[in-house]
Amino acid sequence: MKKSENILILGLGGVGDYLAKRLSHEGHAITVVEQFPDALNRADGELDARLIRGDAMSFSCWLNADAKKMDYLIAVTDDDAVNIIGSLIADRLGIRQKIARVRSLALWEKDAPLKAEDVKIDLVIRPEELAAREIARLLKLRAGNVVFDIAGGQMQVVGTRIDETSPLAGFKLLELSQKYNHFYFRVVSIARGINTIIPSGDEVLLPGDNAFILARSEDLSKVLDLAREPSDEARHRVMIVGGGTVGSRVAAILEKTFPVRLIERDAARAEELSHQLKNTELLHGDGSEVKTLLEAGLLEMDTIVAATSDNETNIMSCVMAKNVFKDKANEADGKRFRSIALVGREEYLVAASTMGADVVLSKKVLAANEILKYIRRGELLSVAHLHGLEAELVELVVGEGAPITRKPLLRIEGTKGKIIIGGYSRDNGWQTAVGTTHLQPGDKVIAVCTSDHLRDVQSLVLG
Amino acid sequence: MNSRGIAFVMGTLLLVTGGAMLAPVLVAAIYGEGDLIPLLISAVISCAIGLPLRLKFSHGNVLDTRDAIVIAAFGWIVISAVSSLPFILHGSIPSFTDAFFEMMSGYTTTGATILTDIEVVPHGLLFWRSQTHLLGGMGFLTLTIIFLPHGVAGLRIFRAESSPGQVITRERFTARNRDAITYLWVIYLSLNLLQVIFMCAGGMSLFDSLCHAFGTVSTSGYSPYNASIGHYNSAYFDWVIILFMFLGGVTFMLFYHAARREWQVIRINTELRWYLGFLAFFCGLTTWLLWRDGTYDFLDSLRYGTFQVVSLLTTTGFTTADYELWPYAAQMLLIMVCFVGACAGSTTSGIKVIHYVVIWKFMVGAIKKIFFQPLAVLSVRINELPVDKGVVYLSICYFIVNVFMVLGGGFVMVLLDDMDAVTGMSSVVAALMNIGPGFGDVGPSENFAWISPAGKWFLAWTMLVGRLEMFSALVIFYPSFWRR
Repeated sequence: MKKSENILILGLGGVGDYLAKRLSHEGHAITVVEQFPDALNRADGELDARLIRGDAMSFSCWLNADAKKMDYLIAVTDDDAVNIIGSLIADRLGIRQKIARVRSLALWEKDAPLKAEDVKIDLVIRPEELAAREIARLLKLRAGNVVFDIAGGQMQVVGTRIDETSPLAGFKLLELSQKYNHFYFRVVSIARGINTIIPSGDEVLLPGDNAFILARSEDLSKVLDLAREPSDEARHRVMIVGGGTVGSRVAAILEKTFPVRLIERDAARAEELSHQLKNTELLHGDGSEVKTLLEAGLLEMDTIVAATSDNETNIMSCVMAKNVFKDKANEADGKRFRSIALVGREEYLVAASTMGADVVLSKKVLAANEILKYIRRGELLSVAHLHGLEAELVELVVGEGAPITRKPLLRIEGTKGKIIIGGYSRDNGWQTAVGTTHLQPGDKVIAVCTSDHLRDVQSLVLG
Repeated sequence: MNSRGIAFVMGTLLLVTGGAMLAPVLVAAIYGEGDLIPLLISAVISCAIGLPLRLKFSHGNVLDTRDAIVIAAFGWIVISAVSSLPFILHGSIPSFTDAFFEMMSGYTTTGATILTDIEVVPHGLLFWRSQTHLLGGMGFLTLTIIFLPHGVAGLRIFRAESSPGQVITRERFTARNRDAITYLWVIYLSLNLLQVIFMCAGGMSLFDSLCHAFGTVSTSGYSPYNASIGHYNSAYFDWVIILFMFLGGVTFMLFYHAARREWQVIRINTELRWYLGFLAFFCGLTTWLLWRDGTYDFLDSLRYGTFQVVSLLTTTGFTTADYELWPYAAQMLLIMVCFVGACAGSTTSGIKVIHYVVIWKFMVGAIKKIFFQPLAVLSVRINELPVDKGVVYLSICYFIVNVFMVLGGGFVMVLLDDMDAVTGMSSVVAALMNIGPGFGDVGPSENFAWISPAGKWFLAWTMLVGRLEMFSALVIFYPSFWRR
């Protein structure tokens, strides 16, 4: 395990920086090529990586970076063309795996003359498409509930907001598990303020928290009832704010299933989209104004998706929409209203989800996770990144002689507040793990941890 | 401030120190001169303090830049204090002030001594004294980083310490910080080994060659003899030491590239060219002055002149002759040489060649722009790449701070002790640039024993300031550094 790869990253923008941090945390040897000294200066001293200032389109730069010894190329510069050519150069130099971000969707249409294989890209990353698909998945499959399938669908993680009236608020997790002992569930992480908490038994759930709960699939409806999340809704009406790449893609995917309204600020863009999106109702207006939102029929909606190019607008639109709904709760006959915000900056992710956005998605994090999943394949069975948190959910197999097999979970030291073993599987299916669970080699486990402790999880569980 | 994380690193530091004392313990056991027990006790004490700290404050604590600076500044003080234990316990240096001065001088690779008769100290302790050079030369903390759990903490400490291996452009030759440090240590130890082989081949005893190699490659300057290298009066040893002092002053990254036959990297290295230029200029001029004056015949002028210039320029501080008897012009030249260190990213201290290169190029450009070509674009190029403005400003600040430290420090020394201005200033230069011997009453034939305790503490602090390249050691005096 813990195989260390040599990874070359082109471009130290949002995704590049985030990936470099995560990958170096996992012990890989990272080299970064970036053209602008400002980005390099910011990373210097923060990032354990070799930083090279240079142009990815100059050959001396590749030589300088020792590219021939690399196992992976991750091309995530701002320029699609540079990323594609980068992959070609990497292939010529003998780098095995090439991952490139190519935003343009047109290039990968079904009958396009140029395929990813033609430009030697092994994994194409399209952050906007990933974000759009994730939003669509959440809305289509789970009526807007944030649910992750894990362990082949036998277990699930549900995200829920704790408010003042929630039956879970104000209790220690230990008390909760005693109170609801007819079925097992486990709170595996909490977003509070601007922090991600991996809770221990003494942690108290507070109003305003955004909590993620792990349970077996057959108990899912009970957990949803408990969290007062409606488990099913027949009709779902969606309002999208912002008709950029993500917004329009979400509309395109959803418009066949749900009634969709899209508000775009730019008149020309709105008109252009109205031709493309046949079944979407296009509105022209500023989605960051309450008046506009109400005029557009906010109160009839079930979900608002804020997908403009501006982080702050997205967060504020969601927060405002939530509050408008609270005020007019009577008119809206008490139904659950959800908001999904697209947020680019890492710092905002947790804050946005505690401020009121029910789901916080980041293109950058989604793209990075797609890449991480690809690099880790084989090592970890599956990985999910919990939306709006800096937490990871991984599934792995307990190794022979691993430290975790020595004692029951309760007595294993150094994991408190860092790592939670949420569930495990032995002979007969998946179970939620409790303090007295004693793991054995060969068990499959679900672990939740903050991103920088992933390595600790690996050494703890894999041995 | 993350005091748990700091305690953890300090614990590791003490464990490494305690472990390092095992080598002199071995030497003491071989020679059997009564220093075995003091060394053993010190090693045990060091580990006994370090082990609980490391175990209790387990890892996973992230250190920020401020913590790293605290570690860099106080780490050196802590290990110098612990390392002085064997001398105090044995009684060869009874006073704590003296022992601390001697050890700080060792770790900072200064080589200034308070021992009037070095040769009466038992071999085990002499070995320990020289071994502090070996540990300090590559930066004690870099050694510790290898023993730290992975994470960014190591990188921040590495930066705060201004350890060798860092060049001004902050270039790195490997992806992982720890790999880079390991390579640097391998290069460093190989150079030491190579020199030991050369010295033994010339007939020096293994003990002496080890001590001298430790003092040469780290460009420090402790010798187990009162007359330093002059003790042997052998042209062969002089030239071997000149060679290794020179190599100790070369950017260590270049050895890595040389081993990989990447000659292009070395060819375009601006600093190396200037380093060679400086050396050729000062050696040639000194030799000519000595020869013209009739101090020595031509070959001896070349040998003594070159040795002294290389020794002072690389901040080593070995002596083969009492240069205070040389013509005044040659002495003045040597004072100038004291202000020039060797290459950045080597084991040397002081104002590096690269600082002069950057300042010079910036100055020439600025004058041109101000006085006769206002449209000129100001850009400084090093190794065929443009240098960041920040680096230029840092170089200028660094130079100015050095000048003020020398002048202000000289004043403090004259104030504390009854000494003349030359002695006062040159004692600060010798300490700040980590050279060792100076001029006047701290010249090559004298030592620092007679200076008052207050003066010794001040000089010891000055050595640390020089070793940490000023800023890490000075920011802890900013009140706002501690507030938050």
